[in-house]
Formats: sequence, structure tokens, C-alpha cells
Amino acid sequence: MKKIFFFLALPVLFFTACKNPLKNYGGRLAPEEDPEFALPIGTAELHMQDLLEGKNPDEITIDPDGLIRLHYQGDLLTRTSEQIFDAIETTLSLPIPIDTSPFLLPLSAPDGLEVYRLDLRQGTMQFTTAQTFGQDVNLHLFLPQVLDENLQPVSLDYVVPDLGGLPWFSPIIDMTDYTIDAPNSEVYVEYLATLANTGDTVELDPFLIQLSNVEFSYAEGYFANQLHDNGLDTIDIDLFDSWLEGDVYFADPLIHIFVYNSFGVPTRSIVQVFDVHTALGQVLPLESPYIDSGIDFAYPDLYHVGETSVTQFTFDKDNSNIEDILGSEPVRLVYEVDAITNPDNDTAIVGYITDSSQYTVTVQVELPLYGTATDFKVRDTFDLNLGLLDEAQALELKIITENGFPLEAKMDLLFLDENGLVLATLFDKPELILAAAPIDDEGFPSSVAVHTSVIPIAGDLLDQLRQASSLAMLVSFSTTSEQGNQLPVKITDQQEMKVRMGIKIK
Amino acid sequence: MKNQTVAFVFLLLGFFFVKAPLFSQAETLLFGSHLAQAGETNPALLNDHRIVLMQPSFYNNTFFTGPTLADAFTDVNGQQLFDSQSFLNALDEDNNLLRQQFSLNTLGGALRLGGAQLSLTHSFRLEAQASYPKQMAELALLGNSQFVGDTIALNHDLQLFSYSEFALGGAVKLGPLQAGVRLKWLNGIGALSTERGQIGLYTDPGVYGITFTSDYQLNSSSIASLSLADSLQLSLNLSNLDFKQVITKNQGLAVDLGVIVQLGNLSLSASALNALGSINWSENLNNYSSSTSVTYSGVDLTVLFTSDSLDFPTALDTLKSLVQLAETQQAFSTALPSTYRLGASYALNKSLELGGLIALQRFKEQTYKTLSVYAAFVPISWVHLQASYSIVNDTYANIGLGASIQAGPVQLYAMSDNVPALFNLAGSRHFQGRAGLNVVIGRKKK
Repeated sequence: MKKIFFFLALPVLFFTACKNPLKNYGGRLAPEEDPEFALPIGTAELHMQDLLEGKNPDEITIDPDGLIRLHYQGDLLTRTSEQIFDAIETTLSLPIPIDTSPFLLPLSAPDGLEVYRLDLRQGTMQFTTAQTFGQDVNLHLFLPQVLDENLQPVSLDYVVPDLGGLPWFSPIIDMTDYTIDAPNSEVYVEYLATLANTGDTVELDPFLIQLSNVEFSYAEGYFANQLHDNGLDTIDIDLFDSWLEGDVYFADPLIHIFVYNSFGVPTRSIVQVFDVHTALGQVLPLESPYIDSGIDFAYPDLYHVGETSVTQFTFDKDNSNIEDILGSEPVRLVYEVDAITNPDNDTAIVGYITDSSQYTVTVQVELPLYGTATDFKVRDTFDLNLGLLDEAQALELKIITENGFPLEAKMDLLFLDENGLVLATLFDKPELILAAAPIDDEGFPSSVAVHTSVIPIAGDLLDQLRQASSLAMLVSFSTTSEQGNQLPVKITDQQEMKVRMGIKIK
Repeated sequence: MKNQTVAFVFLLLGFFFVKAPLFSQAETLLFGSHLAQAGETNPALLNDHRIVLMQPSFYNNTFFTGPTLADAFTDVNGQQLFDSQSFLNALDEDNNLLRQQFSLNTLGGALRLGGAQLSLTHSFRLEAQASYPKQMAELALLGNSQFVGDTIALNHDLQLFSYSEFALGGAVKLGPLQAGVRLKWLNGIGALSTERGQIGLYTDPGVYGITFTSDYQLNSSSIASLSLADSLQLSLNLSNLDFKQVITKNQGLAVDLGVIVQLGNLSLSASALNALGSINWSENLNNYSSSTSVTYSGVDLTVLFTSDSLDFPTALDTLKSLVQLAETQQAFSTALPSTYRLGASYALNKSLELGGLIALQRFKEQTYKTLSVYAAFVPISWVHLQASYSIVNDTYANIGLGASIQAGPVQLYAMSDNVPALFNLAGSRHFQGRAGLNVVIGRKKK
């Protein structure tokens, strides 16, 4: 009897010795009278401004009236002057035989490229010959169109020994900052070879010029049709990632093409592919007169060397079928916009390129959140942790929504097992959870719509919820309608909604 | 004498009809007995024997208002089923009481020398009292759904403490007057006591946001600890309480005073027990307090718009958010229930005595009043028989019976102020009894 427990237990023992009135206790008389607790679950607030905070301003922009525009941008496709210079450098990289004097060295290519002026950033020049005259040969070279760094014509004198037919190589001439001025796309080369002992003029055969490691900083001429092959690119539009069915219509979608061009050459687009892929698997080509005719890109002329000209071209509902193809649940845009120089083959146009010239193309899809949606159905899945619902016998979910968006939402919940199989659905058909805010004449919400839903869950349905490991939420959105007609609405950064949930648990 | 008697009867009746809970705290039969333990009802009482060695005895008193077991349980095909509606219907809207007293008198002794008497006793005692409104039970049994849109008042009071008591008493007889005093040295063993008990709960009719208002403090010494860390848990640490701890650091004092006037065959008695008595608790302290007015609207579910998981809040989340419990370790004190008795007895002859008693007990905010009459009959010198009748809590079938038998120096006794309750546990609200033995030496001639 050390413990007070026994002290407390004594009266109990005393009375139970008389009679235990509860020896056959069998639970509650009316199980339906089990306690029912009403508890708040919580509040979810969705403010567009919060959602937009921190977003890349290149991806989302806000109009002065608040209208939100989504921008989906493709890769920056860049082509530099390297490709063209490579072609010239390749042409000049082979040993050039000088079989007569004077000799006209052509600065042109079979594809029509004609170069009138070249400024060298680096490179070397060397001459090679072989003679068996039994004495030295005095060699004088004159290249009046090849100007050294002081803009002086190149004039060279060498003594070529008899090496018994073995090749003789001149010293290497550094051509850094040299200029080749070839208005006719030809370089004049003159040489005079005389025997050292007799002074007789002789012909050197073979006699070669070798240009090595040549890199140009500037080229001027007629560049013919140079094709800028930009390759295929894809813009993914994630707006419809969870889309299941339903229609969405964007009132004024746009596709922009931005070209940043510092080539001094006329260039025009060649649209190889411009297709919208829809959630239904359709491939819808963009159609426009500008697809067929091409878009001329601005370029800096000879007076604006080093500058970049910008061209922005926009496909809209007035010049294309964009409204149709982007109004059909687009999930990606696949395109290839190449470019060709001198599309009209006008040889009178003298253009230029520099070693820093580049041409950049990017395509951007712009979807203003302005339009209509009809039963735009999405599905999302949540892992489920029932918490206090674990031991519930019945429950009643209450949802009060205050919606400032001009969108209504009907919802159904699928209870999924571990394998994703549907155990049960909350409703027979989707129920309205969120009422759409009414709109004014311009499509802006004019007030907040309040809606209350009470959802009882009991019996087998509750058992199935308890067994569920995840929930799939099916939500179909529709924009505000009037007499059954969907009205174009605008989603702005000022819109917000509040969803409050409470639960009664028994 | 006749006028005095009439005045006394009117005083009794006036006292009785004051609206207040009534129950038999008075220990009518003990009051009217010849036992040394009767001194507990009035320290001025002088024993019949020169020496009394009080052996272990116990006393229990259980009382509650509201539903009885019969109200709470219904027999259906031999099974006892809990009938919550019947249970709730039997509750008072504002104030329901549960009162428990228990004492274990370990040892004691009294020595009477002529008109003077000294006594020394030791006891372990338990005092418990809970008062609560009907809505508190409704909330627990039916939940808060029925109170959506209303504020529930959950104000309550809980007093539960046990202590070890050393009592040194003295009484003296001066002519027709007897006076006595008993000083008590109290050593608290454990306590659980609400210092403030104001709690309100409002459930918003929207999505059931809960507004919790409180001015609440629960003090504990040794008995209990409350935790909201992992769950709401009130742990009763009864195993910490050891009866070896007859002397503790939780100290207190109390005093009993009494007077008896003997007017021929009429004896008038008045006593005040545990007046100003209290215990100061300073061991193994915990104070849990909450003074707040906070609205809990659930958790922030905004993450639902961006998350792939749906977690419902737990009840613990709700409680933690609402209660905002603060924990300190501050000393506190508990007041003992103080009891006041006025009694009268009249000896018709040597064998038969009739008496009446009114008593008042104050325990925190509760006041208990008792009206009873009794008769004591001594058929032979070693047998004492007693009977009492009390009106208790608007019930009229409270019959008390008691007996003591003396075999040589050994005196055995047992009594209850409500014997029918022992045979009708399910229908009763008041259970009371005392039993024990004494060794008595040297009968004093009256």
C-alpha cells in the first residue's frame, strides 16, 4: 500500500465488491451519435501577382491594362561570317600556279561569290619554284593590288639558286593587316626572272604562290546565294501539359520572328517548316503569304559597317492562319527558318562581311491570356496523406470559393490505388466548385463570384478513400458564359481567388 | 429552552431552502457517534474512554450531480450501452459537480484526563472536485459540429490533491461548555489544480474556423504533466507518489475549532474545520497556462497550387495552433475545503438520542449544504446502533445506518449516510462510508 494508486483504488474496490453495473458494457447505444467535429482545413489563396513574381520577364509580360501574355521562345540560332570566310579561305588555301606573267589570280568561287576587297587579320604568303639553269636567277615580284600594312603595293626581289631541280622556297611573308584590293575580283601578279650571269629573261616553271593560315577581317563583294541553314528547332508550349480534352481559343495569338543581322548583305527568309503540333496529335502548318514569299531581313549597308540591323516580323490573325492553329491546344511549334543572301541575284549590290558579322534568328510564340475556354479539362495527381481522416467514420467537406477569375471549374476526384487504378470517384459527374466571375464588355472581371460546395463522404466511398494512395483531380475549366455562349475573357495580373476548406468529421 | 429549540429549527429550515447543491458532507452518523473519530467533526468532543488508540480506518465520500449510471447506460439484450443523449439530458446547463473525498487514518491516539483531552493522529487524505458545464460534455461526446455559429463556454474547475496530515488536538470542558482546537500540519503529496479555468470556443459557420479564447492555468505538483509536443497528453504520474513521503516540501497548515454547549439533555454543537487551511506546493512543479484569443483557420493550402501532395492537417496541428500553451515551474497553493457544522442532539433517555445537523462546506467556488436528522440507540452497553435520514440533492431516500461493537478493548465500527446507494449503484449519486477499529482503555463515567 505504498502507492497512492491503491489509495485511490480502495473506494472503487469497495463499490465493485457490491455490484458491477457495467460488467456487460457493449459500446454506444447510438453509434450514429459519435462525435462530429467541424474543423478548418485551411485556405489557399491564388494571386496572379504572386504567381508572376520572379518569373522571367522574357516569358511573361503584362500589358498596361493588366492582360498577361505568355511568351514561348525558341533557341537563338546564330550563324557567323565564319562560314563564308571559310569558303574564301578554302579557295585560296591551295598552291596557286603562276604560269604566266602577268597573272590574274581570281577571287571568286563557282557558286557566284566574287570578292572585291579582302582585309587580312592574319596569314602568310610564300613563293616556290625550281630551276636548273646552272646559275642563280634574280626574281622580281610585283603585286600592285596586294597592299602591305602601310598600304604600299607588295614588290619583292629574290635570288633563286640552282638546286639541281629541288624546290626553292622564298622567305615567308607575314600578311597581317594586308589588304587585297581587287575591284574586278582578280589579283594582278607580275614577276620577272633573269639569269644572274647573263641577264637573260627566263620563265620559271613551276612557280607557285602559297597562302597559309589566312584569316580575313573584312570581305567586300558579291556574295551570291549563301544559304544560312539554321536547322530545325522546337518550342514547347507547356500550357497544355495536363490537358485532357476541351477547347481553348486565344483571341489574338502572335508568332514573332526576330532577326539580328550584322552581315552587310541582303538576306531573305526561307521557311522550310513552320508547324503547330496540337494536343490531339494534329500537325497544322502555318499559312501566310510571307511563308511563300519570304521575309526580307534588314542589313547594315556599306556606310554602317559593324552595326546590327534588327528585323521583327509578326504573324498575326490578319496575315496568317495563326488563330486557327494556335487556338487548337498547341503543345509545340516546330520550325526551320533558313535564310539566303542576295535572294534576287542582283550582282549590282555590293555587300560585305566582317569577322564579327553574325546573323541571329529567334522565334517567339505569344499567347495573350485572352480568349475562351470550354471544358478545358486537366488532370493532376496528388499523393495523399489523410491525417485526421484516418479514423473517420464519415466526413463532409465544405469548400467556399471566392473567385476573381473569369473561369469556372468543375471538379471530380478519382481515388487511386498504388497502381494508379481508380478505386472510386467522388462524384457521378464533375461538380461545380468554382463559379466564374462575371465580366464587363472588355472581358475583364467585374466582381468576385462566391460559391459554396458541401461534399459528403461516407460509407463505401470513405473506405475507398482510405484505401487510396493518391488522388487524381479532374478539373474542367470554362470561361464565363452568357446564355450558354462562351465570352472572350481576359486574365490579368490583378486577379485572385481564395479557396477555403473545412471539414466535418465523425 | 422551548424558544431556543424553535429558533434552532427555523435556522435549520432557512438554511436548507437556500438554493445550492446539497449533499451529505456532514458525516451525520459520525457526528452523532460515541467514537473517538467523531472528534473529526468537532474538536471539542471528549471521548468516552481515557485512552483511545485509533487503528487504521478509511473514509470515502463520492458525490456527483447530473447523470447516474442508470441515466448513462441502457440495458439492451443484456448489454450495457452508453446512451449519450440520456447522459447529456441529465446534466445541468451551467454547473455539474464531481466530488471525491477519501481519507486513510493510519494511526492515532487520544488521552483524556478529566475535563481535558489531547489527541495526535496521522492521516492520508485525498480531495477532489470537478465542476464543468454541460457544453463541455456535449463537446466531448458529440463534437463541435452542433455548435457551429455559437460560442461554447468550457469554463471548468478541477481540484485534485492528496496530502499527509499530522493533527494535534486539545479539548477542555468548563462547566456546560466544551471547547476544542486541532492544529494540522499538512504535507502535500501531489496536486492538480486549475487556478484559472476560462475557455471559450467559437466555430465559424463558414469553413469552421475556430476561435479559442482562454484565461487558463493548470498547476501540477508531482501528479501530472501535460505535453503538446507529439500529442496532447495529460500524464498522470501516480507512481511518483509514495506514501513513504509522509513529510514533503509541500507544506501547509490548517486549524479546526469547535465548541459544545450542554444544556441538560440538549447538546448544541458548532465547529469550523480546516478554516484558513492551505498547502503551498513547491515540489515537481508544472504550470500550464494559456491566455489567448486566437482564431485558427487551418493551414495554408496555397501550396496545393504548386505541390504534388495533399496533406490534411492533424487534430494536433489544430490544438497546437489554438491552445498556445506556456509552461512554467512556479509555486502555487491550494486551499482546503472548509466545513462548518451546527448540530443539536437531545438524549431522550440513556439508550436513545435524537439529533439534527446542518453543515456547510466551501471548496473553491462551490458551496455544499447538508440537512439531516439522526437517532442513536444503545440496546446494550457494547452495541451502538445509529440511523439517519437526509435530504440530499432533491432526493428523499437517503437512509444512513451505522453500528459499532465493542469486544473488550477492541471497538469495531462501520457506517454509511446513504446505505441504499450501496444496493443501487446505478441509480445513486452519493456514496459514503467509513469503517475502522479502535482500541479503547478506561471508560469514562458520564
